Amino acid sequence: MELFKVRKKENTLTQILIKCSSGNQKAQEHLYKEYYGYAMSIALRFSNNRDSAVDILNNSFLNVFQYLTKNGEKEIKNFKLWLRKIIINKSIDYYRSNKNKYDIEYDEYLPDTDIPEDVISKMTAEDIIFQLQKLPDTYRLIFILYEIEGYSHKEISDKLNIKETLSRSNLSRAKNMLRTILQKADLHE
Amino acid sequence: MSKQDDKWIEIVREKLDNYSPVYNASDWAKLAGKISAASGGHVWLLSKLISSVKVILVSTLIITSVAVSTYLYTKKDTKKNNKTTNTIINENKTGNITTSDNSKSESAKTKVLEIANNIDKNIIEKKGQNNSQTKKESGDNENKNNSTGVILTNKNLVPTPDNNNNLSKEEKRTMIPYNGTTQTVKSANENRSFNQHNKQKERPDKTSFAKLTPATFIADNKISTNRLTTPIRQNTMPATKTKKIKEHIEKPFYAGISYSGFYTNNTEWQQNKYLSLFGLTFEKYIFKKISISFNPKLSVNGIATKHTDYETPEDSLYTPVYIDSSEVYTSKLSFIEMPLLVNYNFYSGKKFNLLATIGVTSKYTFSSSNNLSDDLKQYNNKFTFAQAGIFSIKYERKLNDNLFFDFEPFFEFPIRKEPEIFNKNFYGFNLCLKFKLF
Repeated sequence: MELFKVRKKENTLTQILIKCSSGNQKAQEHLYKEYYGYAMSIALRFSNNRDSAVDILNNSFLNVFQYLTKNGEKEIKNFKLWLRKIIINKSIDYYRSNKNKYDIEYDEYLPDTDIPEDVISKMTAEDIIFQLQKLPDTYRLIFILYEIEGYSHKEISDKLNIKETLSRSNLSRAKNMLRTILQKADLHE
Repeated sequence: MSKQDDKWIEIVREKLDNYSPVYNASDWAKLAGKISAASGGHVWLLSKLISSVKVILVSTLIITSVAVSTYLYTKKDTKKNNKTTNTIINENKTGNITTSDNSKSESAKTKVLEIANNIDKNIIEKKGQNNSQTKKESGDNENKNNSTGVILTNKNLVPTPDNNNNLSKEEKRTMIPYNGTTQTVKSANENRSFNQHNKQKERPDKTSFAKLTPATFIADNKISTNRLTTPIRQNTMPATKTKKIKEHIEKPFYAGISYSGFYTNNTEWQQNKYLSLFGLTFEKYIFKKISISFNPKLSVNGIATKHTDYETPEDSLYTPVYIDSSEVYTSKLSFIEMPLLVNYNFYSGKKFNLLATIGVTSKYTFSSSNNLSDDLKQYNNKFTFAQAGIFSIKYERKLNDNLFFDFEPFFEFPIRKEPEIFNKNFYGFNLCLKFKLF
């Protein structure tokens, strides 16, 4: 029964993608609606505010629709994974284009601090995203790519065009800073 | 430290993976604007090319139609003016033959004389095949015929070309009475009538020269007597050869008023609405069965739409409503429609005609009233332009010779899909009252 449901959903998705290929705006809206939650949650992790996240999300979907219109849906094996990669790439592009614009000064030295599990557990996802957005763009990007998306330092260095060592050191700093931010957030509550 | 690190990061990862923000329609509105802009730029060249081809096709169609119709009229006039082929003959009530003018009278005479001469020659040939006794009877009969039948005078007889002054009795007998109505020619030895409308029934014996009157000869040789004796329906004389004269193809021009109605059920507009359009109609036949019609019309009850404060109001102007908007604008859209159609008359009855129609229509949409702020009203000055193809079947009822009533159910499909409200198929009908102007 479950298999049947999965296949039915795949068929529906294929039909929507076919319609999107022909430029059907209704189908595009349907697809956008269907994957909005999934895609937006990824975009929000990488961005420092909601508007940026929406920009990343919309640019990603625009790429999806343009690709579908040009190449069709046949080569797309796993749409969800494909969409995720597009969003990550768009986030990196967004970071590159706004690197100088939004980078803020922050303290270089941050002490290693422990963070109790219960502090994190009682936080909602929105709270965590809100705290993540307080991180500098570079730190946040490296932290999310490495810890959440599972990229290696080699891949991160390739994507961001930085050295591996810098990726490692920035990840360490990002973790320390996030711990501090989360503890502060817990204290304020 | 690393284990503890792993734990809190694991929790963060889990929470982020399970997080799914609530859908916000305004985000899609922003993307829709981007898509329109992107697709508009991408397809610009193609749309221009298609538009150019359409303009060229329509122009070619119109020019060809005018050229063909002009050519046909010129050809017809040439035939009319050619004295060796046609001469209009009028007749008066007394049965005397007159021509429409003096210049044409000579050629008319010439034509009739040629026919009569041919008849004479044939009769003489047949006469040679018969004996002299028959000739005598024929002569006697002729005298009787003259005394009892139609009075043959120079006025209502067409003389033979030999010599008008030296006409023999035999030759006179071959003259064709011509009074424009159904003729009764009495033979010599019997007052047998020969009704030309029933000539097949009363055809005389071919072997008897006595019965070989001009009328019978005409019947025997299958010469159409209608050309000679019934000019009431066609006031033309035949050409020298017995070719049928090409009928005059009537290409009337109609003008009238029209009403169109169609029902919209677009849920995006949050309403089902019956739209009415009033307009004018012009129709010109370019061939016997093909006509071109132009039917400009204006919508009288616009489509009311609502839209939110989108990032680009130009995109939002014709976009449907989203309820979760902070600010809602409404506007009433009206449009001018200009269909150009080609009609093919596939059935012509006494009381009605049926026509199949194909064509294109252009809709120029404008916002007739709205509550937009002043800075947004500039976008209303811009016409948006939609194009659609039309298929229809037209029932054309003849009210009298010059007055017609049309009922035309139609199907419209979008070609140029802007604005979005016209990006769908429509079904509707046209009613039209038209007059034959010329």
